[in-house]
Amino acid sequence: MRYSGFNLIKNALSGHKNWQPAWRDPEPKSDYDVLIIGGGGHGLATAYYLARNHGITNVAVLEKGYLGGGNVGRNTTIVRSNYMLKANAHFYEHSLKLWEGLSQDLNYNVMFSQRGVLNLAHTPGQMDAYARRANAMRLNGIDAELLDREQTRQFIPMLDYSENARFPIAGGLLQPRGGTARHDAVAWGFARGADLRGVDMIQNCEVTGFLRDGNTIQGVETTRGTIRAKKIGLAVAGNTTTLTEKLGMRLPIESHVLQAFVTEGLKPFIDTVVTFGAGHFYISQSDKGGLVLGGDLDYYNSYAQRGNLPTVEHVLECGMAMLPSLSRIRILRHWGGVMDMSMDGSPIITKTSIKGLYLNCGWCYGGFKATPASGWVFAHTIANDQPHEYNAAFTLDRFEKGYLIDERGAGPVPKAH
Amino acid sequence: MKIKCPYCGVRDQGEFSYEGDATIKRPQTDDADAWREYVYSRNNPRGPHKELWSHIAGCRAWIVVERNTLTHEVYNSYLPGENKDD
Amino acid sequence: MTEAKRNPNATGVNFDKSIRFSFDGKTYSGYEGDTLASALLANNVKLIGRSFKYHRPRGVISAGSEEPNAIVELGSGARLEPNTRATMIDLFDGLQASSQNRWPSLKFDISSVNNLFSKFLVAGFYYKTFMWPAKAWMFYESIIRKAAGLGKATREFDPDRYDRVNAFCDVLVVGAGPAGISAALALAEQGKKVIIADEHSRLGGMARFDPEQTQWLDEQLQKLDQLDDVIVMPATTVFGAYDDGAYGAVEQLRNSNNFSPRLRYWRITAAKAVYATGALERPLVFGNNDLPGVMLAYALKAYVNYYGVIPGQNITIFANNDSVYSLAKDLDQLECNVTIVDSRAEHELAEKVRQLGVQVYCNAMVIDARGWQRVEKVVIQQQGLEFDQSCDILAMSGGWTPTLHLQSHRGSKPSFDDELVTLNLSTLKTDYSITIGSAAGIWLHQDCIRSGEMAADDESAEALTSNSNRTEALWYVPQSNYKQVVDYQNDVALPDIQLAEREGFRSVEHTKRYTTLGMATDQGKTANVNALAILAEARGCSMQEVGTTTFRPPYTPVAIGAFTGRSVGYHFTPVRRTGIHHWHELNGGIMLNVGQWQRPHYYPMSPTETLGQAYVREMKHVRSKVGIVDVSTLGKICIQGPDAGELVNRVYLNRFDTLKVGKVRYGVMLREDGFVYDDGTTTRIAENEYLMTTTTANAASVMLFLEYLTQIVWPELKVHVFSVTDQWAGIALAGPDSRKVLEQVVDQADVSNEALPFMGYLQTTIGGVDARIYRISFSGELAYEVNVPADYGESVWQYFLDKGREFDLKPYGTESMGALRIEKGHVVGAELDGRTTVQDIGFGKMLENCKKPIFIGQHYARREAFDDTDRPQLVGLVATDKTKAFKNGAQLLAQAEITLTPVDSLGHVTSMTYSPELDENLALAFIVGGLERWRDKTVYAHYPVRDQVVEARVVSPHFLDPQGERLHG
Repeated sequence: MRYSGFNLIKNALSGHKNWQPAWRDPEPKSDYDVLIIGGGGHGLATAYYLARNHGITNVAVLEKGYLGGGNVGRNTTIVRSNYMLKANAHFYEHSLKLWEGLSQDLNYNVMFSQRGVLNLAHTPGQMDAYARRANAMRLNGIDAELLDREQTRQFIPMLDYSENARFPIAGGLLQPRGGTARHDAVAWGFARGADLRGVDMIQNCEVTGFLRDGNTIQGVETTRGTIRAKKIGLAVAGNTTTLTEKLGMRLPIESHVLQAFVTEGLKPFIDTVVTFGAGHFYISQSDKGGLVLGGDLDYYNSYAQRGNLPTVEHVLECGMAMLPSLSRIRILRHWGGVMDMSMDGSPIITKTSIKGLYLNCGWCYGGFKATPASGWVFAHTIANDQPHEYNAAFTLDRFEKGYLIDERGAGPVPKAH
Repeated sequence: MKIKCPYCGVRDQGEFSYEGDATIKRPQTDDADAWREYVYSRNNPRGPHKELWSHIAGCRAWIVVERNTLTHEVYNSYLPGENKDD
Repeated sequence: MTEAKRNPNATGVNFDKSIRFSFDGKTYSGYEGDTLASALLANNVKLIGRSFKYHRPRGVISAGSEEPNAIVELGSGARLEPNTRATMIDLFDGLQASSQNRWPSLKFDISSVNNLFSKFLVAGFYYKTFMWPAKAWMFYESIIRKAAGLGKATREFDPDRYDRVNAFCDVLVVGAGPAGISAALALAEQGKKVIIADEHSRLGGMARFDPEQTQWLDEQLQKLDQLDDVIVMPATTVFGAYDDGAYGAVEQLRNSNNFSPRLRYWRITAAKAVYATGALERPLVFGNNDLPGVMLAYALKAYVNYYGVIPGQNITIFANNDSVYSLAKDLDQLECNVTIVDSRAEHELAEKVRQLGVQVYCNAMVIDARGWQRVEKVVIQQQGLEFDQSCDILAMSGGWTPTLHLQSHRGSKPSFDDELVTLNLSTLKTDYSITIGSAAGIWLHQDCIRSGEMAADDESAEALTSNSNRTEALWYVPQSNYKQVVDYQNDVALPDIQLAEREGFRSVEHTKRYTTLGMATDQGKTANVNALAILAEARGCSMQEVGTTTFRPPYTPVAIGAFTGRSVGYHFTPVRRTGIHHWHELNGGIMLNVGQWQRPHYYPMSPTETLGQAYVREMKHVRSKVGIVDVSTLGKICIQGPDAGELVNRVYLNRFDTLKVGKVRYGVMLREDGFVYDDGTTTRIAENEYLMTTTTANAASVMLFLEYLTQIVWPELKVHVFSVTDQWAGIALAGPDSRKVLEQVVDQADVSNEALPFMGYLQTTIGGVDARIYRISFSGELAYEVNVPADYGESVWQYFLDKGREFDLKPYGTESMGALRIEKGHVVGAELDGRTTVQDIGFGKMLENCKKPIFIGQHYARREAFDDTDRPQLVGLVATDKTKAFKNGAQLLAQAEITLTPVDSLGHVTSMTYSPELDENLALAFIVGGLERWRDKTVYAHYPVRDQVVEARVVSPHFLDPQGERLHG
């Protein structure tokens, strides 16, 4: 049933008894054209675009837990395309354009809110770096504004512009088209869209091994039996190496925990997304009213989906340095997600040395905003056995060859990106 | 987390800096595969992990820590070369 | 409104001391010992808040931290605290509270019309609509945002302080009810250092509310008081359990409007934890179960016996378990009219209280509560018969759920126990914790005490876990006609959960996320188990199969200010000051943050002189006369040992094994991936001693890298490294007259060109102070760098100025220092941004000439991609129009206009300056193909964010004195 205000009213009058499940709960078939491992945002988007763009519908998404249970459901929901390097800029801008029509395309309100993303700068050197990025964005056809201190103050007066600030605000880089989205809705919308086009969503189905014939992939062993397929796409973020280990592949990836925080619900407090420039902190407010906060990694390999107090303190100190009126607002929950940190901070979306096996990983912090484009180009890569122009640079051999896409210039240290 | 520094005793993780996979070895030849492994490939297990930490806010020793990445349990820590397995 | 009757025998309030407070602008009085909730009830104020979505009237339902309804804004102005639970606020004189999420007033809230439309506002309705037209979402969203949220937060800065404290103990006991107290006492007896914390300001847990246990409690508290090794922490919530015995706790210190510090955040390290966290009573799910006047049975017991508030005369109790029968007795003694509605079959206990004159209906249920903004009557159904019963308080008990949040933080998963009809832990003991008392499903007072004593012996009390509080499942009342609320604060009702299941949100996590169940400020403490059961029924599966969601820290919300303690404002992070800092401040230097350091940016001659004017003046002065600049922040690493030279030789790309004692050499350092890492000079101080300098930005990371190399990679090298950045102050002396100044300041040494040639080094004294002099130049002028012990920095700096006065020696700042190096084409962080190779910056020869068998970057510095002529390479730019200045971060294009985007940039401007010497506007830039492709050609530096373009000619980056005649002079 199509979602609309009309159907909502119609169903309300019949006690909401006639809504259909947003997706079926089928038994896995023994054979598919394509298997996507990972029912998170990227896996579901890939399945959706395989069906929508390429007419490939004999597809199953295998999820070891519940759909959308990974990072798509535990991130800080920021969407932006404020990248400097060409490969990233084009890819993320494509993503942002998809976001702009996603609710309508999916017939599912993902609440994409273009409230602007502001990165603060605190020194002349940082302003120069933002100027470089902002100008590069403009040349790449991406919206960007460089604000000086006064413009920043006018845009968001609630920050610490006082003499007491340890790192006074010098200005900022604003991307007005950036913003936030309702993270769970993105997973559910893609799942529903894929389901309507015939894709099987198989939950509680953990992949335990791979079937291969020499260098060709043939299927997977799962907790719900053997499933065969000619093509298999991996979209399991922080758990990528756990699976590729089974294939004897080693990757330029480390899994790290990144904590996120939400406060108690408040009436509108902050109307944009702001990131601190003298430490790691970002903030926005969900439509429900909670402030959503994030910072930097806990800085150790982890699969635990939870972090520790030193990072909690550090992140919140950064928050207070930027926005001292946070002081009396209370943290309601904090949790962790497992980030697949790559060696240059940019993703890997590529075919592999094993025929029929495709890889989508290395998202670092940036996976959520990439969801639509990641699905789009990964579906293209799987369907055509060659990359889309927007993921042509996101190869696995770029590290060894030296074509790195290192937005921060931090080198081959995963935690530094 | 708490980590035992062989010189300083048990200290809070806040005194240490995580420095990654302890199993990588700088190649002594020009073998391309070995260099790729050293510079770009990492062990990334979900479970026991042998890793380097620097006691950066203490004695600045680099130590090998055996820790579980799923439970964060620290099993063991010692100076590099002190463990027979290395 | 009349005051409620009070119970003169109450143990928790001091009727001799009255306290005045206000709620929604109206003044009331209560007593010392009251909470805001009890005081409001005592004043007969039952309507305290409005619900999140439907704005339904709400009152107090609990007497603890699980309260979902009675949440208020506390204080005002900069001290406004939204979403504060009235049940957890100890009354103090002058307390100001107001209701929230209502307009214009609590009684007449316009948004309560939402309740009429609640049919449409079901779980997930917003995912299905507000999509047309596409652009309208921002409009819909602004309305939704205003309607959503609970309290208002202040945008003023917090005037209060917070403390951050560490504590260590053998055992942390969380919860000071009968189990926790007995555990703490028994542990102390064994000589253990114990911390016992309880979220309430007064200890005792549920024992506080039971008149029969008052005496026991007083005795135990006295014992606790006398023990030195037990630290008792009331009003302290242990909110989170973290790895390796780390616990976070927050202590509430407020007892007035402006008590400071307001909160104290404790980082507790404990070898073991005893979780005596108690249990939470569950509401029952029937129609209008959220009307003010409906409350949890234990809460009524607390208000009546402890706070001495008798909030009603006609009291109905609805329950599915035994725990409410003692309440009926207490109420009966206070001459209330009590009716019990028990969903279970007839039983002995029912018969017993009937003998006291209490009406008991067994096999009966309350199907609806009725009333306008407060409960006035209930509809009871017994064996098919429906009848009304008037009442002013409806107490309910749907059974008890152990509080297992802290265990869950560390990964324990509770499971459903059919016998106890609740969630429980399958194992009470882990390596680091033991769970006791009601938190372990142990209900009887004596058993709780026993479990505490056993915990001291590390014995688990599984045997005491029993259904001593007989409970029969009743998850919701199917016959109800009105809204049956499951999650009070988020207005999640029975049909929402059923709808979620119908739409495929069957995983418990999906149900939570789709309905927002358990996501309000109480994290669903009162709602979760009922919801799990309702979901299990809808799915047709067992509770076990449904599972649970994960509890996340904090247990109850914690103010951000508490976590940050005093590390706020200017104290956010330490300030690093050089030994000369004081002089800069006294002499008008404008300081600039460079990482944690502060450096003098420039020294304005007058209040009106701008940065642009000042730096040009300072440049001219250095080029024509002489100046000094504070360079103390450069990283300085001392490298000692027989293999010191070998280490330095391996770390840099260029050769250092040929460096002689007393000589300085510039070095470029790569990363192992072949990109440029850092640069600086290294001096061979002695046969086995080198002093390496790094850039300010990379000082710490280069140091760490050297430690990695010496301890992990090449432990066989006999070499030791240590940072001496903070030990030496650095003064750079530059300009044609610099040697003359140097001659004046050195005590004896010969600093002639012969004795101290370019790249020479000299150890001597200046004004009696040990000094190291390096003849190096960043500006391209005849120049020296002088190190003296940091503590002498300021006096030596002043000594330079005094002795140099006759040569007009002046200080210059980092802006002019940077500009001078641009004229020379020296690269710094702006150019070495982690993506540049030696080929990119024109040092390709250095790599070609490198024949060393071992050096950092040896493998990857030579890769095909790096020789790609399409890599951007360092060049100089000169503005065609002399009056036009470049801007850092401008992007280079071959054309003057941007007609179409996206367009590929050719490169970018990294550093710019006006050159007074050349009277030109200059810049360093990277451009694809470099000088070879672009020499003397025209490019355009575009700055589209300011709509500016500068036309430029591409030249060599060595603008000034390319042969280096000045510095050799």
